[in-house]
Amino acid sequence: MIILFGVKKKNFTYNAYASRYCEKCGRDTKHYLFLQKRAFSIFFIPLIPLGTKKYMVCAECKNVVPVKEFPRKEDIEVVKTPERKN
Amino acid sequence: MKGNWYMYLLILAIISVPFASATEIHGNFKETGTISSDWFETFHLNMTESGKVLDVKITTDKNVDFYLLTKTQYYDEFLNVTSISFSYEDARENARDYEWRGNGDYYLVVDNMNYSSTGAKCQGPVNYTIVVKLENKGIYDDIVDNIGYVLCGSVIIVAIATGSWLYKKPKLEEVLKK
Ligand SMILES: [Zn+2]
Repeated sequence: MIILFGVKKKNFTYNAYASRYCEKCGRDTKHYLFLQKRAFSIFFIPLIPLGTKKYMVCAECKNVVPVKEFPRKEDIEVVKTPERKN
Repeated sequence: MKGNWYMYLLILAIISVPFASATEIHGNFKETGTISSDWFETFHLNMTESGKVLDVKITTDKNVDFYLLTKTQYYDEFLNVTSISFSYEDARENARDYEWRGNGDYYLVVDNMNYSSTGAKCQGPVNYTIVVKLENKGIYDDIVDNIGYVLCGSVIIVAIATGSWLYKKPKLEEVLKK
């Protein structure tokens, strides 16, 4: 019997921006918050939560930077537009 | 005529083996007895009451072999004089103690013969004591009986919990640095 196992990922983006330096653009740009949840799956059924990873994505060049923590509430600018699709 | 006599004796000896009687056990039971040299004793453990288990403890004063057989294994293989081997559900060679817990229809054979080449050698008549208790099934037995359902249920619960965690988007306030 073949057992299909792997890691199932679910991505979430927030309409919340923070300004930070982008190495690709070479200047301060707006970065939005991007969160990824991962779970170990067997036959595509998620069974064991593997944790959450946080990223900040440059709104200009889409460069993805992994971060340990997101900025504080006061350093975030929340945009009231429909949330982007993943 | 004299030659025919031996034939009759031989036929009688052969057909008497399959009629070796088994002690019927359906519930609480206690017996002490002796098994002659090169002979065996059979206990038919037949559990018909649902929700109960038979707890069987049998001890002997000399080394013997124990065999746990199904009805087919007992009648068609063990008692079959033409078969050279037999299969079994469980066997304890050179054992003096046997504990068995379960339900169903089984034949427990205490073998004081030199039937199996690796088993106990007959050392003369064997005294035995068998104690059978009919007990209520514990929660453990229920779990063992339904292990498949328990596993499936656990997997479904874990999958629902992990799935709802995986697909739920945390609120922005929850993920921001405090
Ligand atoms: Zn950039």
